[in-house]
Amino acid sequence: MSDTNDDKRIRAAVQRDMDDTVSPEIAARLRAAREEAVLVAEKKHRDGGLAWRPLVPLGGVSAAALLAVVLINHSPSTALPVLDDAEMAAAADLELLDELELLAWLDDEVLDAG
Amino acid sequence: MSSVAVQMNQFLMSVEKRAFRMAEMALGNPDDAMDIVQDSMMMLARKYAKRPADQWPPLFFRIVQNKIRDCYRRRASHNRVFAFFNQFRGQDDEALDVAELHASRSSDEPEQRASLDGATLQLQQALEVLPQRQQQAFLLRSWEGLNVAETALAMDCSQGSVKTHYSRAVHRLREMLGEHWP
Repeated sequence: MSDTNDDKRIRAAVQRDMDDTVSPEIAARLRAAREEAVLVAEKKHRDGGLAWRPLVPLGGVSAAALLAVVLINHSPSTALPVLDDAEMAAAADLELLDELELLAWLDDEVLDAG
Repeated sequence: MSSVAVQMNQFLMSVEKRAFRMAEMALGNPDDAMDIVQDSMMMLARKYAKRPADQWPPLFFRIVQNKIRDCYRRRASHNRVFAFFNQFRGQDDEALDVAELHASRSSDEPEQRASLDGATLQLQQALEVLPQRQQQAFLLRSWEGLNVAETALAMDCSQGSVKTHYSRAVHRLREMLGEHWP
């Protein structure tokens, strides 16, 4: 967004006429405040790469908790297994076979008794 | 010293006096202005030192303007409380408005005023009576050299509002300064 000629004239007049001088006392206080702020910026910059280090113990605890939850959710189930159709049919056949064997044995017993 | 610290030092050195003068002009009190500039420098260093340096000017002036606004609000509540108690004391004190503040400040600093030449003094006096938002928009655009988008960011308003405030400020200054104004 470019300035109009009017804006440029105004800016030139303001740059010429505005007074940004301050007393020596104010200048000294500004300089002290600036130096303090620069130290903070320097410290932030220096510590920037290490900022994640305090989070390491928290990350370890979180990982352990996550692992525990996963293990608990995937432990072997104690519920009875569900049989499919073929297994059900095989089981029914075994019962029928047992019944037939029982009947055969009863017949033998009756014959022996007779 | 790291490059960030060097850049931060250069940036703050380039804006600190104008920021102080803007805050002083808005608040009419050098001590409040100094507190605001100090706090703004610290906040910029603490929160935005990692941002690219070309983003610092609007961010810094946004912090300054927010703190000026906070200071106005504190004064307004302070004045309301005093006005409330003054009712019971039967006094007719009204809340101190910005114009009175500037008038009192003007009389406090005769030597400083005397050292300014005519055009500078007239411009400064005219700026001091502008409404706060017009004053901000005008100084950020014309003195600090921020563009419309940066000024909008610094003032926490739309670009349209910046144009309106700036245009009204220029119109008002032309009315007040007459032939001394370009």
